[in-house]
Amino acid sequence: MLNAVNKPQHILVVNDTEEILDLFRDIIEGMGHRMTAWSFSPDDLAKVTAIEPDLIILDLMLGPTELQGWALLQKIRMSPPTEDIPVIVCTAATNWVREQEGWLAASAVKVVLKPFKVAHLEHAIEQALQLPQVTAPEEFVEDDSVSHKAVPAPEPPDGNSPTRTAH
Amino acid sequence: MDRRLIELQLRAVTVTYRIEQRRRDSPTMEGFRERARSILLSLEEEVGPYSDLQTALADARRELDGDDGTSQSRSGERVISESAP
Repeated sequence: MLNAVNKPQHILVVNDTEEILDLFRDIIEGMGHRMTAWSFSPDDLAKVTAIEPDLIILDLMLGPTELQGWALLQKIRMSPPTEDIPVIVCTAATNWVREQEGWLAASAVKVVLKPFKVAHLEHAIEQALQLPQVTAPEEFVEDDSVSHKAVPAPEPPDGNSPTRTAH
Repeated sequence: MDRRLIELQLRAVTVTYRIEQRRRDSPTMEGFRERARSILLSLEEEVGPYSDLQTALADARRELDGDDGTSQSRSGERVISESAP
C-alpha cells in the first residue's frame, strides 16, 4: 500500500514507548513506507530537517512531564523549515484535543485518537502524505496579515508554558 | 480483513491500553475502554477462521474488563531504529 505516486515515503514517529514504536513500524513498513523511530523530543529542529521526513507522527504526551510532545508540535509548526511537514497527532488525550481543536485545525494537524483502528491510521497516513502543502481552512484565519501558522498556540492544560520557537 | 491486519489491530488495542492506563485517570480510561471494546467487537467475526486469534481476542477483552494490564517500560532517550532507505 503506497501513496498515489507509488513511492515509499519517510515517516518520523516520535513516541517514548518502545512497544508503540514497534507497532507503528509494523503498520508503516507494512504500508511500504520507511520509518525512523525516536523515543525523545529533539531540542533542535535541525535534527528533524536533517532526516527529511515526509510526515511526522507524534504523541502529545511525551517525556517525563508529558509536555514535550505538545512543545515539539508547536515548534514544528512555528519554524519555517518544518512548518509545512504534515503532522499526525496520535494520542489518548481526548480532552486536550477537544480543548485545542481550533489550533490543531488551524495548524493542519490531523488527529488520530487512541485506541485507533489500524485502517483509520493507515488512511490518515495516506491522506497526509498526499497533501502537497499544509493549508488551513479560511475560517481559522482571523487576520489577513497573519498566516495560519502564526495562530498563537494555547497554553497546556496545567498552565505551564512549553518552550516556543520564535517565528 | 486479513490475518496480519487483525493481529495489528489486536496489538494496537492492547498495547495502547496498557500504556495509557498508567497515565490517565479513571474517568478518561473508562472512555478509552469503551472505544477499545467497540474495536474489539468489530473483530469478532474477523477472527472466526483463526482459533489462536479468537483466543487472543478473548484475552484482550478479559484484560479490558479486568483492568489487569501489565506494566510497560518506557525506553530511554535514543534513536530506536531506522528503516533501510
